[in-house]
Amino acid sequence: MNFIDRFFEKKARNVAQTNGRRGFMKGVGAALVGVSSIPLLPVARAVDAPVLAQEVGDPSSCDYWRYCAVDGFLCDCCGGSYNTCPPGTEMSPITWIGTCRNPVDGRNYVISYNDCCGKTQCGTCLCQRDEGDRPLYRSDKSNDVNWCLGATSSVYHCSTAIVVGVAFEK
Amino acid sequence: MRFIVTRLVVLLLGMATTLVYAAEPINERRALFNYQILCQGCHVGDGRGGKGVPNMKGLVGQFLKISKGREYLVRVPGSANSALNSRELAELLNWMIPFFGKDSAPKEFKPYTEQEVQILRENPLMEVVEYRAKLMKEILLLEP
Repeated sequence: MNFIDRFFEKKARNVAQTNGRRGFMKGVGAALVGVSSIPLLPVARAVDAPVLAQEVGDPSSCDYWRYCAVDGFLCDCCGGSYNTCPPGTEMSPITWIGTCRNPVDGRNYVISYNDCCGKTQCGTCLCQRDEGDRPLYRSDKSNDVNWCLGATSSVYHCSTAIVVGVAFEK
Repeated sequence: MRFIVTRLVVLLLGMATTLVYAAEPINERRALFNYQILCQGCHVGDGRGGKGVPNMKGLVGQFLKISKGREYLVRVPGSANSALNSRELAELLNWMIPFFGKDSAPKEFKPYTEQEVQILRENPLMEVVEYRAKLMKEILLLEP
């Protein structure tokens, strides 16, 4: 039994020499904070999002799936993103809405092309895919309407493409 | 024998009226999708509207307090001119009224039927804003 005693004595002295007494508390503390912060990470929060579209592609390219019916400048190239307006512009609440097929899951999503208004035309990334666009006499389905009419300023700057739902398949 | 025949006739008539007047069950997903595609652009996702678009949130059911108001919700351009058939339009209205109007509708609200919507939309409103103001005045007078 002597060698066991000697072994543990040696190990205990080793640990005492290399680690502080508070090291264990530090580890427990770090673990507690680490575990509790997992729900704050975007990965965990994304689960709660109502519509979660898995996406591929470049949001600053006209080919991006959400832009199937876009007619205008992409906010993603103008200092905003595909669902936010560039600083200094206001998002028009009144908008034109269509559906686009997401190549990742093959489902159709309802896309709201909210315009950003209040600054002169952005001028970069002009896209005119216009799929499903209808003439002005079907004004709710026409993207030639200046949808900035719903904002404080009716000066058009760029367009976003926000997923607002999943299409109902008949 | 006559008694049985009378009862049978009453029963059959009863069944016939239910067939004609019973509102279809609502498919909420279809109603929401039709709203998103055809209405949300102006009326906004939560029905609050915007510049020149009236707010429906917690209010739209008020129109059902008077018969002209009930007719109004079908005769407005967005309803009457919509690309939906009368069956889907009735469904959309029946879904939308409690969804956006919350408890603004009277408790005895009877759902729209396809036939009712079909008849009402054939008489669309040409001047909406003034007519709406007139109706709101009438509805406000009803309040105790």
